[in-house]
Amino acid sequence: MQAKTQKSIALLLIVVLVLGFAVGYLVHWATAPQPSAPTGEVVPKSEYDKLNQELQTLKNQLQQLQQQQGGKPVEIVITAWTQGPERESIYRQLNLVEAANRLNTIFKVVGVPATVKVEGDFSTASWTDYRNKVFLALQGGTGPCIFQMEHHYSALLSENGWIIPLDDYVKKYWNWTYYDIISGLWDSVTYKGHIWGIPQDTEARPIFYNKLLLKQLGWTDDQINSLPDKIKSGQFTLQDLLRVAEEAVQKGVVQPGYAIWHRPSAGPDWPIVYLAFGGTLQDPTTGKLVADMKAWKKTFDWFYEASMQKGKAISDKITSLDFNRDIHPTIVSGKVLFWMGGIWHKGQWIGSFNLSEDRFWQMFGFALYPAGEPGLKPVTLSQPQAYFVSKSCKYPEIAFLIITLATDPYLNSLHAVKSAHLAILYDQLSDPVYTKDKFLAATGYMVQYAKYQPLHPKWSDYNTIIFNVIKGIETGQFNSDQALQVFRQNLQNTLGDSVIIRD
Amino acid sequence: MAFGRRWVRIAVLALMLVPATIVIVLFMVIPAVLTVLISLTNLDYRFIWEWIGLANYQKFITDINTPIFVKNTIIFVTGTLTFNVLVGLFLALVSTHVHDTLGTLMRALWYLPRVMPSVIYAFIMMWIFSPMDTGFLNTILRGLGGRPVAWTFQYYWPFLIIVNGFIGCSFGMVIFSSAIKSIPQDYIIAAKVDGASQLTIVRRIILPLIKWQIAFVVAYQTLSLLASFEYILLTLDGGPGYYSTEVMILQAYHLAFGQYLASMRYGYATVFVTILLVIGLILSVVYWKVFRLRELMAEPKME
Amino acid sequence: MRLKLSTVLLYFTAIVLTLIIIVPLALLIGLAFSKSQVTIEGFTLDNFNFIRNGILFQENPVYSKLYPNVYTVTVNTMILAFGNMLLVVLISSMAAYVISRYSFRGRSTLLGTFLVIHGVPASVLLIALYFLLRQLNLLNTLAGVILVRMSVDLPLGVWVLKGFYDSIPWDIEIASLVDGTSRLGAFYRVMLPLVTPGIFAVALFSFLSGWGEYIFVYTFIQSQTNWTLSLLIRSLVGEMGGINLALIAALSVFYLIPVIVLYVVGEKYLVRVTIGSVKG
Repeated sequence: MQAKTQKSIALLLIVVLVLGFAVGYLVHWATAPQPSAPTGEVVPKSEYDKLNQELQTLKNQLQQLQQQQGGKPVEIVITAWTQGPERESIYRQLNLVEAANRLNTIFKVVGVPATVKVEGDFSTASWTDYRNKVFLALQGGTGPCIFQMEHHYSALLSENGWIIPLDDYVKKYWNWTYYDIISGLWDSVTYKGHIWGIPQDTEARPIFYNKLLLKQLGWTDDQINSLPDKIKSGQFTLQDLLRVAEEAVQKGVVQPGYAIWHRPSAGPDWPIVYLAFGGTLQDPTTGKLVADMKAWKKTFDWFYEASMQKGKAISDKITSLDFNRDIHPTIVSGKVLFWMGGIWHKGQWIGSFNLSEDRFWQMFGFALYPAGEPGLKPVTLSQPQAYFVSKSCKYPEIAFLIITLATDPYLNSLHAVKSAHLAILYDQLSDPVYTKDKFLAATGYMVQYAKYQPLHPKWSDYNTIIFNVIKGIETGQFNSDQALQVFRQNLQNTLGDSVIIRD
Repeated sequence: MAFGRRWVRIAVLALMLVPATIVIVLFMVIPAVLTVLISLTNLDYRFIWEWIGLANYQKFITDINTPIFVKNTIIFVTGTLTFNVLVGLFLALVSTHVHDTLGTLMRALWYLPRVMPSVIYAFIMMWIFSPMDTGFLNTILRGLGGRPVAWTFQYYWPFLIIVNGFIGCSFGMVIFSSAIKSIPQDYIIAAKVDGASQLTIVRRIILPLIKWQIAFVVAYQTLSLLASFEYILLTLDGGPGYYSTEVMILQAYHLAFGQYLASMRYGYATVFVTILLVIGLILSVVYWKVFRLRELMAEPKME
Repeated sequence: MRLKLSTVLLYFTAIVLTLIIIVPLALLIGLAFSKSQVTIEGFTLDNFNFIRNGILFQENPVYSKLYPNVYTVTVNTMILAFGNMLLVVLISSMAAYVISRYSFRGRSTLLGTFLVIHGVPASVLLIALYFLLRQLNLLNTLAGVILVRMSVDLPLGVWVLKGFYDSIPWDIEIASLVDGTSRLGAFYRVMLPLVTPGIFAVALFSFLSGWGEYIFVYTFIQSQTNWTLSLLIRSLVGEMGGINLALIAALSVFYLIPVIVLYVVGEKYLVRVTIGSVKG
């Protein structure tokens, strides 16, 4: 080749290279994402890549959708229904809304062409009304994408084919938050080998005792403060509690019927005394419900002894009272010695019933349900709430992502502290919002003693029968033997072979 | 052309009648039939239609709670009926014997609870009779130095009967007073001239003359009380104790739409409804025969 | 004039009876204006703050979202009431005319069915109606509730109007027909005007029945945006039954005012409806 040609080719190459770099740089500069003020944590590149990978299928789906729609970004509305009924639990809904905001941020970063919005009501209706509403909608195929319900409904919801199993999603997004869920909670949402819901919160149902009234009864500060421990070690039993209650009535420290109060309606608490007497509710091999008649007899004996017919500890009118109208105001005014309640009641008392935080600590102590008799263990019951994804949801993965982002230590702590529920993530136990709360710290230990209600589609019927029968004992219609008989007959009539009756 | 016009006329008349017929058939007759059909299935939370014949009825007969529901229904119906008729009669008699303005005012006021929305009425009655210290009656009692009474808790049947009765008695009141007012004055005057006391006039003249209306009110309200539960639902909801005021129709509602945690047992719930429907049908036929024979089923005036 | 003991007793009883029935209403009004939230004490207009823009619990931005706007709910209640009224009047005025004037096969059966339905409250059929509305996709809609409510009120409307039609002499109709008007014309221009009191009575009755409806709305409606005032009040009773009776009373008074107004205006007509259902 001639030197002149070589020189020209070399010059041309250099010019092309320089131009190429310039163009390349210009293109890079034009298309690079604008560096904006970091809104939160800066995502390291490895995380970013992982995110990209995890969301790839979703991104493809949505990009396809966007094309079908003519290029506009896809607007997705996820319907979510949640329930209190207490208004302090409103974060159950608000956290989902916030999760959608966070999801949108992630989508923008990764380039998913969609915006997500969460719509729906937070209900303050009764559980029955809320459940009816949800079941009806699910059955008609018009159900919400996400809904919250008590964990044990996993059984009924999945039997009816209304919800989707979440195992695969949980596995896929394990590292986002699910590695951190307190392990015992998974049992509460696992039915027939699959995960059906994501725990939203949990709680414990303690017995609150009025310290001021115990003092009036003659207890020393020491005795009062060591009560929870005595209960924990099994030294103080339900029989002891009953004796203290009766003594309080006899000595006039409380009015007759105001020594032991419990919820006026059906609910998860009813089996606790039975559990404290060593009863079991579900057979692990067959999954059937179980009724230990010996334990039930002891339970009914206890309630009978406590009723106005005998010890006058529990008012016969209590099942006609209304939670908000009658019960909470009376407890807050310090007239009741023992309250079989839930830890979230503290949230309600402070939020809606004018109890100050200081006054609460002055007036109330709290402990597990004592063992029924010496030799048994103290118990409590937890009823975690769970988020479920309905089968009719058009964007189940997005719904799941929203639930995942709402299952965040900070967001969940907002809910936990405001409504006095317990943590579901290990990280929460060190979240500043959560740890600030003295009450949650003091009740945290109870989850170790907590049992769950059985996951069985007919559990609600069983539970309603328990309540109805105890109601009959308290209003003076049955003595403990009659109660046992009515109980057995109702169980057989309503549950048939779903229940194993052990004499 | 007479022929064409006739068909046009029939078409027009049919058109005027059809909407009502469609509505009644669609929303009354079909649901009634559907109710009976559902009672032969075990439709529940699974929403599966599965025929099981008379199994639900067998369960109904053998269930230990059934006698309680039946007993409550009988107590509720007879108690409220008695209240309705007696108080209705009493109101009618008093309001027609005082000065017309006062009488009209009385009747207007007593008719009001019936017209008022049920939730408001239930709310205020529950507050008045509340067993808590803050209830109206108890506030008055305490003010007078007495002790509060657990009204709705201890005296639940009287409470329910009063609540439903205040609504129901206006029916009889209106019918009886209009009947009393249409009694020819001559009878009354003649009796007065003869020296009869007011009470005797009431007993010997007025009551016999409105026998038909009294019978009608009894018949009509028995039917409607058998199936009425809205006010029970809004106040005591079947309590205060173990099914203390749970009447049959309320139990059906609870079984289907939920009481506490258990609900959606549609198959079993419709058994209660079907039985009530059958009783209602039989009673209606009986009433038809008794009351309508000489009634305005008179053949109409055209064609 | 001698004042007989019996007369005094009579008037005394009448006055007592009148007062007894006023008590609940007076208490309601007392609570609505009460300063105390659980009993009657003092006087304030604060409970009526929601009138300004229909938002309950305005002081609390989070909680105020829990309940639908009072005015939205009131509009729903009006739709239910007016819808019921229009449909009942329309359908029953036509049906009653035909039944009153013409004989046809199945007339007795139809009248009989109306009577039976009128006697037994439709709440008996709630379960079946629920499934029926679901099939027709009318669940959770006001339209569904209107249709059900209308079918319950229809028999009464037919019976009452039939009575009115029956009392119009046949001659009037013949006269107009001789003049050459069609049957439909005779209906619109002659008959309807003559039964106006009946129409008014049925309209009033069905409006109030729709206005106060609770059990159908409660069973068939789920979304808060479709609530009527009865459901709103009931849900407040459920949630805050002991905390703020005064607010509930204030809302109840708000709910009750149209009823009182209409009642004062048309009580005579309403009473006629009751009697009309007896005489057929």
